Amino acid sequence: MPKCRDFRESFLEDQSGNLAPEQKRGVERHLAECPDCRAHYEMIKKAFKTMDLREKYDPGEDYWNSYWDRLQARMAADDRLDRSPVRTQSDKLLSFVRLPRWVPLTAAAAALVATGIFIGRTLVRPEWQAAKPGPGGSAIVLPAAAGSDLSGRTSLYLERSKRILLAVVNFAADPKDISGLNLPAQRNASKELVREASLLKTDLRNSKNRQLERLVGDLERILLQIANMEGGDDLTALGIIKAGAESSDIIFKIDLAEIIAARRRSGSPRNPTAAGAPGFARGSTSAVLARGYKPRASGEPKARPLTRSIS
Amino acid sequence: MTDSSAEPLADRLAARDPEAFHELVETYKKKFFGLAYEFTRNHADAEDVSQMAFIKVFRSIETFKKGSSLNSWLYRIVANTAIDHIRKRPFFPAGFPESATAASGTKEEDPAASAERRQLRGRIERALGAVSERERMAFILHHDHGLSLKEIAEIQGVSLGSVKSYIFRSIRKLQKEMSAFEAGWPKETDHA
Repeated sequence: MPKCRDFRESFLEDQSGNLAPEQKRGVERHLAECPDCRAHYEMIKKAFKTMDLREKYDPGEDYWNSYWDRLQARMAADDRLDRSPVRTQSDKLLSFVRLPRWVPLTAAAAALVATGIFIGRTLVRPEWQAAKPGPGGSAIVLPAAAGSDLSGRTSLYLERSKRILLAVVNFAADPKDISGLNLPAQRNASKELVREASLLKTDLRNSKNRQLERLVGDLERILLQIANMEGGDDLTALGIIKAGAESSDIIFKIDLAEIIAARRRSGSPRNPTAAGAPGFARGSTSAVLARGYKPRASGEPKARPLTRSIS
Repeated sequence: MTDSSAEPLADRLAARDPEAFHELVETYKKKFFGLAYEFTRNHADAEDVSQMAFIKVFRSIETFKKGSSLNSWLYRIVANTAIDHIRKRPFFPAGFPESATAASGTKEEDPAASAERRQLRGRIERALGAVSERERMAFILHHDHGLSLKEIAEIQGVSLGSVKSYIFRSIRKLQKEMSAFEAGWPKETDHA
C-alpha cells in the first residue's frame, strides 16, 4: 500500500504533465481521501499557476528571424581571431553542412544588403524628423513624438557610446601599449552606459522607436563586453570586442542616423561627404575618416587614425 | 518531457546532415535564449550566452553519445554556459528584468490592475531571486521548459532527490513571498 510520501513524489511530475495516466489516476484517488496530501498538492499547483503569471521576455520576431545570421557572423568573427593553423570554424561549418563556399559568402552579402535596406527603411521613416544639432554639431535622427528629453538623452547616449567604440576600434593591439587605451576609464564609462541602457530602451520602446531601441540594445551588448574586460592586458577580449563591433557595423549605424539628420537639416541630400559640410555631424565617423581621428577625451591619449580593419 | 522529436535530429547531426545544425539552432534558439535570460537578466548577455552555447554544441557535437538524450545534453551545455558566464563576469547591471518592464509598452486596461500585476510579478521575481542558482535552475527547467525531474538531474549532475529538494525549496520561497501578498495560499503541511 503506497504511503503519502510515495504519492507526493509524483505531485511535481503531475504538474508538469510528465506523469503516466495510470500514475495520475492513482494520485487522484489518493487525493480524494487524504486532506493533508490534498493541501500539499494545492500548494504545488498554486505555485505553478503563480509562475504562469510571470511575463516572459520576448525580443520579437525580427530578432528571432535574424538570430541565425548573427550566430554565423559571430562564428566568422571568431574565425578571424583564431590564429591556429588548423581549420577555422567556418571551414568546419562548411564541411559540416557540405555546402560550396560561395553559399555562405552570398548569404553574408545578402545579409549586408538586407541590413542596408533595413536601416534605410527604418531610419528614413516619415514620422521621424531630424533633431536639432546639439552644441557639438552632432545630431541623431529622433522621433517627433519622443520629446526633447528623450531625444537629448538618446543623442547623448549615442555620442558617448561612439567615443568609447572609436577608442576601442582605433586601438592597435600592442602588448606594450595597452595602457594607451586607458581601459579602466573606458570600462567605467561603459558600465555607466550599460546601466542607462535598460531605461532608455524602455522609453524608446514606449515611444515606438523600435529601431533606436534596437540600436541602443546592440550598443549595450558591446559596452557590456567592454565593461566586463578583465585586467589591463586582456588583448583577446579586446580583439573579440573589436571584431564584434565591426561585424555589427555599429559605428556605421550611428553614423547613418547622423548623416540622415544632417541631410535633412542642410537640405542637400546627396552631398554629405566632406567633413565640416553644412549640417554634417562633426563627430561622425565619416568626418573622422576625412580628417583622421583625434582623441577628444583626456582618457584616450594613444588613439590612432581610424581604421575599420580588425586585426 | 521526452525528446522523441529531437532524437532524429541527433542522428542527423551525427550523420553530418547538411541542414542539421541550422535546424538545431532554429529549434532551440528560443529555449537557449530563454534559459540564459533567466540568469543574466538582460538581453545582451542572454544573446551572448545562447550564442556561446550553440558554438560549444557545434564544436563538441562529436562528444555527444549516441542513444543518450540530446535534449538533456543541450540543456546541460546552455545551463553550464549561463552559470559560468554570470560567475565570471565582474559586473552586471542591477535593476528589474526587461521582461517586467516590457509590459509598460502594452496597453493596460486598468491602472490599478496593472499596478497589482506589477507588484505580483515583483514578488515572484523576489522569491526566485532568494533561492540559489541551482534551485532556480531546477524550478525553471521543470516549470518553464517542461523537463522531467530525471532530465534535470542529468543536466545538473545531481540525484533525483536533490532535484526535488531544489524545486520544493523554490516553491516554499514562492509560497512565503506570496502568502504575504495574497491570502488564498494554502499552508504547507508538516510532512512535505
